[in-house]
Amino acid sequence: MPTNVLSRRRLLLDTGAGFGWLALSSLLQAGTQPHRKPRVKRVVQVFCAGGMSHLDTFDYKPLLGERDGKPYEMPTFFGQAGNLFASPWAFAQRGQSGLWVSGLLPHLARVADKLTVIRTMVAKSANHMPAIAQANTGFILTGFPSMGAWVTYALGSESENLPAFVVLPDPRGVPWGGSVLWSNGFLPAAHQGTAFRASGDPVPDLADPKDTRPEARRDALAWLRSMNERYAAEHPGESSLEARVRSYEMAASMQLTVPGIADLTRESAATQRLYGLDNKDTAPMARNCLLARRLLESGVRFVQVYCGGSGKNWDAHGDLAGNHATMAIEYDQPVAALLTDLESRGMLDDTLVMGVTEFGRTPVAQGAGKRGRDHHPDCFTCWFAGGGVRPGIAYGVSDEVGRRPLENPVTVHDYHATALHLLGLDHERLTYYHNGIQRRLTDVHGHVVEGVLSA
Amino acid sequence: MPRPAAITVAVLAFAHAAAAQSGAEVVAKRCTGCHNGRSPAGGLDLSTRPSALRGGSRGPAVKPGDAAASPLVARVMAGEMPPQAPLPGAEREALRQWVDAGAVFNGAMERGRAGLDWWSLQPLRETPPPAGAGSPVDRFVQAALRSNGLRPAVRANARALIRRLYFDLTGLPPSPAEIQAFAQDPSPAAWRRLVEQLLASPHYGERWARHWLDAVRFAESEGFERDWLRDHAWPYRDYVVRAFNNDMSYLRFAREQIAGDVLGPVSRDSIAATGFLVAGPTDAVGLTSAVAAERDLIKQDMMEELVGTVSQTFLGLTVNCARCHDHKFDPVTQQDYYRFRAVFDGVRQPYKDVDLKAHGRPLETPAERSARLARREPLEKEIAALEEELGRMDRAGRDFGRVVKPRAQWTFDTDARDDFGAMHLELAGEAQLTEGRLRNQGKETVTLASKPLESSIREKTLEVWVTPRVAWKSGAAVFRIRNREGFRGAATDGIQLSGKEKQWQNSSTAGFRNWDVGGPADDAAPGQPVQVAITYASDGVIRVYRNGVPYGKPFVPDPALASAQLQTYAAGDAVVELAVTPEFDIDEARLYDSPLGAAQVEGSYRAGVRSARPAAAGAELRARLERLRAELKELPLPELVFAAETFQPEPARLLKRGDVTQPAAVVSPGGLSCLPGAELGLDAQAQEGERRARLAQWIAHERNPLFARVMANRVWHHHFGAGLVENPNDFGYNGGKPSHPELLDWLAAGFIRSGWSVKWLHRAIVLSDTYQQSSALQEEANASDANNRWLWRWAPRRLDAESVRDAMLAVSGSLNPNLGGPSFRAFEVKFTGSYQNYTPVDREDPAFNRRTVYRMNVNSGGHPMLESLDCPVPAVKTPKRAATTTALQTLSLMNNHLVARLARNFAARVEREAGTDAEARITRAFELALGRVPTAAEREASVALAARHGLEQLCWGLFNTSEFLYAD
Repeated sequence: MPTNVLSRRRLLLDTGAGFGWLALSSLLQAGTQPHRKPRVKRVVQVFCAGGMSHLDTFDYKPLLGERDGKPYEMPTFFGQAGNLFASPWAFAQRGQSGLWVSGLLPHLARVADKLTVIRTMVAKSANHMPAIAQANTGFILTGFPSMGAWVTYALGSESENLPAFVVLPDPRGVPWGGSVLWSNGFLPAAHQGTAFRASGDPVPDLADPKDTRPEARRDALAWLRSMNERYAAEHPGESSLEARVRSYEMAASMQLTVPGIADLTRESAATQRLYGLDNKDTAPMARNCLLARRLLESGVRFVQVYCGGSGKNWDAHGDLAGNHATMAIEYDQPVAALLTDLESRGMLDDTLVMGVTEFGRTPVAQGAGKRGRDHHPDCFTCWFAGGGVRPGIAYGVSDEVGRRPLENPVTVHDYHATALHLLGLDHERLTYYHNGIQRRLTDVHGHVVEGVLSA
Repeated sequence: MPRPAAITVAVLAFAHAAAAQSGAEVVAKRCTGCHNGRSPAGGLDLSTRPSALRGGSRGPAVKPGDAAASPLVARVMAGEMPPQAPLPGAEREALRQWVDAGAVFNGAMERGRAGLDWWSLQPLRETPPPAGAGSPVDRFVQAALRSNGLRPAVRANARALIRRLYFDLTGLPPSPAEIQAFAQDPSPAAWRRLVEQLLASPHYGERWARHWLDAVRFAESEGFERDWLRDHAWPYRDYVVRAFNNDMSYLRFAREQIAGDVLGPVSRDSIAATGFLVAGPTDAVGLTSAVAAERDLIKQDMMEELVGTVSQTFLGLTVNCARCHDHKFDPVTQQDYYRFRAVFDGVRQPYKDVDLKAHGRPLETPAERSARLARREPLEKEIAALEEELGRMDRAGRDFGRVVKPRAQWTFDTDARDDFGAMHLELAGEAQLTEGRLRNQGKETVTLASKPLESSIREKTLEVWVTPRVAWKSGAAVFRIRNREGFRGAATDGIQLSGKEKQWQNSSTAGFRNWDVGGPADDAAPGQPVQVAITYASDGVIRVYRNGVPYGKPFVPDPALASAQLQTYAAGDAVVELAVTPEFDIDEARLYDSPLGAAQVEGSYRAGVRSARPAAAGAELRARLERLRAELKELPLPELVFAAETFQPEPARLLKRGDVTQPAAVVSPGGLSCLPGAELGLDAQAQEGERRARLAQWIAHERNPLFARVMANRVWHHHFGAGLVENPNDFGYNGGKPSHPELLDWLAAGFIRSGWSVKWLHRAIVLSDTYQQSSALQEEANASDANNRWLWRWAPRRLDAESVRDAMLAVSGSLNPNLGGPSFRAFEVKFTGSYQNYTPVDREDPAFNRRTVYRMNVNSGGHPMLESLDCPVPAVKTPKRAATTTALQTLSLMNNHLVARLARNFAARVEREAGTDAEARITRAFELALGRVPTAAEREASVALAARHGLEQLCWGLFNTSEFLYAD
């Protein structure tokens, strides 16, 4: 068996490190040492579902303005390619770095010096669900573990009171595919993403039933503890039974901790304003971004925040100006605030922020005389911020209309490999045996993008 | 009892397999099965050049450039190696030349891999069980224990045994009475009776079907973006349950799933069996992409998924790994992959456009089909003739003098059909024809939808005549046109009366084409018909008319906004909808494919409303037509099933590097070259059904050593929690070698001899002493074999998700034992665009108290409690489940609605059965949940808990005990 975290974990479990430790480790699915020295400890991924246009945000193409309305031949997803279509937003160079950011994202423009923009992303599918699946799991088919599951599988949890992998969907609805996108796939169930809900209990089944009195639950738990302790004692060697006893303590502390973390009124008014909680347009994303920071602070390993679901999202087929303006207002301020806030708390150095979308949008309008853009997986933009990456740079060069990478193409696999690298994980060694293959997040592809790493 | 079949364990001649091309391949395919890995045979590792040159315990094996001095060549030439399977002359010669040429190893061999001599590809070799006491299974197991310095455990106690067997064979707990009876007589004879009783129980099939459904990734929704429900997938699940219950021959079971629709005798059951082929995920959106490469990629990905499912399920081989290159670990070539795939090229999932109701194919045999068509055809012919005749008459006078002929027209005189085209409306609910009008007799608004547009439409006019029955009270979207598909832009435009101002206006997608019309409030008196028309011109201008004159001001779109421009309504997708409220009748509706001018709208108004005129000619013909239609409607339609539909595919081509843009040579359908008889005698044009029929007979065959071995191992796996081969879906190099190879072959051969009886396998296993061992820990054995690979005990196990839920149902007295039929839906469905969204629900309802195997298994709507107990997403092939312990699982067991509800039912049951005595209640609760009476201390603590907080708290606690959740 190749050296991988699984076999090392088995070794640790088999050689034994004390009963309580075993119980705890099987509960937390505690990971092992990373493959190399990590640059970051945790990840927050902000996912623009629907396909954020690279041509209207980070990848400035003056030629589109010069040739607006001129014919240009290319195949598109819906097969209705129109003419070249200039961005409705003006671009400018920002900050010390001079990174190009359009007027669509004024808040992110102000923190441009913290961003590492990759302008030559390449995905496999021009179709939302497979492309989102690839961005999450590396595969366009469903059934594979998502990146959050891989990371928590490898590195375990740092919190006894919180799930290691938390997903914060857009309150208007989950993206196409739903929970499949944060599934553990074939990894143990402990690594599946826990989707917090926008209303009611943040975690399913968190609160005691309303008609159960606290003292009744307390006494029943005491009764249960003695039953389960006795059963565990009668079955020496079954670490899962001891883990079950501990799991009730963990569940109880989760019941205490989660509502507190989800309670954003504990944040100062200034912080709430920074994220945009005081504005009805920015409030939903602001809540999730602020909650993400609170979760990271409390030891959650991997947080995913969705901007857009299957109903409302960045999928600007008809009216790019209207769609992206609405979505950008929701996205821009809260995400910029997240970066600022992480930095001011000294957390940006060991946190990786991933700005992700499943694909970009076409340089041509969708349909003659139209003002929208179609799906475009052949070249688009994602970004990093945080520890271990070179801030304020744009990596990769796309062609004059942003249709294809000219220099340094970065596949989704490369992007994943790089993120794992920053976490101290070798994407070729982070494997799990399933139905005949040592599976990886990066399938059989992927190279670490050295050009974005800081020295 | 299955018929005993005379079988011969086939001798597999290596000549069947593709001859190795060069000496390097000879070594890779013929030698590295043993001479490889961490402890190679004779210490000789032939997988890499350095290790081959270093040699084994007998010294160097290869002297590059000198075959005559190389022991490897000498022993192969002498026929000593490989043992009992001497190589053909050509391969010996290739080996000799290769060593003479310097023994250059190619890259593929620089790592461990399986060759054609890999153990699982060899014929079954039946060795008699070693001497000793006990059943054959015991004698094999005990020999292995002895040679590892271990000994078996004693027999488990009666309560543990009966609980173990019940959960194992039926997935349900034994009742207290059954436990007591067995405890009084736990003799081997009583054990045998118990085994027979449970194998005969219908719950046995439910339990073992679940294992099978896991392995074959059975899903009742399509996955991906839309994740639409598959309403008619359940007949496959019932087929599997029945097959296990009836102990159907596994040979037939496998053949029917691959080719039951073509390989006789074809029955409804054997058609339902092919649900296996299509149970995987479908990317319906990707398959309709405008980019051909995208469509092809999705199609090839789905084919890889199918190839993987067939080959892993029945052969334990991961043929899917050879799509882009030869298999990295097993002797499966890329050519093999494409030949195997070509067998299934003509299989597709049953789809008809986007009509959800047709999400299935008819469940009928060819004979039933011809009988059904014979009854329908005369009627259909006469109906068609009458329709044509009436159409001729209609077309003569149906435009009622209107200057512009409508694209579609509904007059509601005798039906809700389109007078000119095929956009017929379907009457529904309380909206019915009355006096030549559409009237809603009920309280709620009813929306009727038409058949889809036959050709796309852009410029258009919508016209509707309505007669208020009371003065206007509420608003309504009366008549609109709508694209149903989200990904094409779910556009809509139509005529609506605003609720507040009683003003006619356009209603459109997200209000993109709404404006302040500014027309006067409608004051039509009840009984007085009103004509409303809206015209949509190519420049995006929209105009409203009422009773023939312009109404308010028109809409002029902002040229910068695409969503404000004229929309396209797509052929095959867009429909018109009429909303009928109880407040008004709809007299007529028309759709024109041009924007009518003011004069034309006025002309139509002057032509009047048809229901005011006498009925047209042809009333007699129309009446006959209605009778015939009614008669046709009475004829029974076949049930639907979500099973394979087929077509004749193009000849298959190998794809270089798996790339859809690089097709290479044509390949003909066939089996795998590493197994005998792989040449199926099919050419590239072979008929679709013939391909699968022959492959089914090749896979499910006693000559195929993998087929019987893989199933014997699956059954073993589920009885012991671990297989003799660790990975039930992988008998290749990565899956490793069996712990007890002779036992596996003995089981496989006996399985064949029994007539492929799965119940024979169960008996062979559960009647053994090995299975009946105690689960107690032996310290020394645990130190050397913690994973219990040598079976020194029966390892305790947490129940799987379904058994936990089913046991709670059974213990609480809530279980609804009905077998089969449509699945119950423990979720609510919400549509967002074309996407389905599932929210779990639970309520006290007999349907919700059915066994978990009958739960509708959707991809994106898992149940939080079942998921936390390792119930997999259905699209994932899951030959073995994990058993994790997590805090989220504990939260679910503590607080899930289902647990609370069933704890209440459990308490009510105990009160019913045990009367009012506090101690009797506690005893009864323990007996039901744990199968035993409480100890004195437990009784005291439990009485106190129940007295203080009610019996329900105790019942909740019992559901949360490890003892309830584990079998030992």
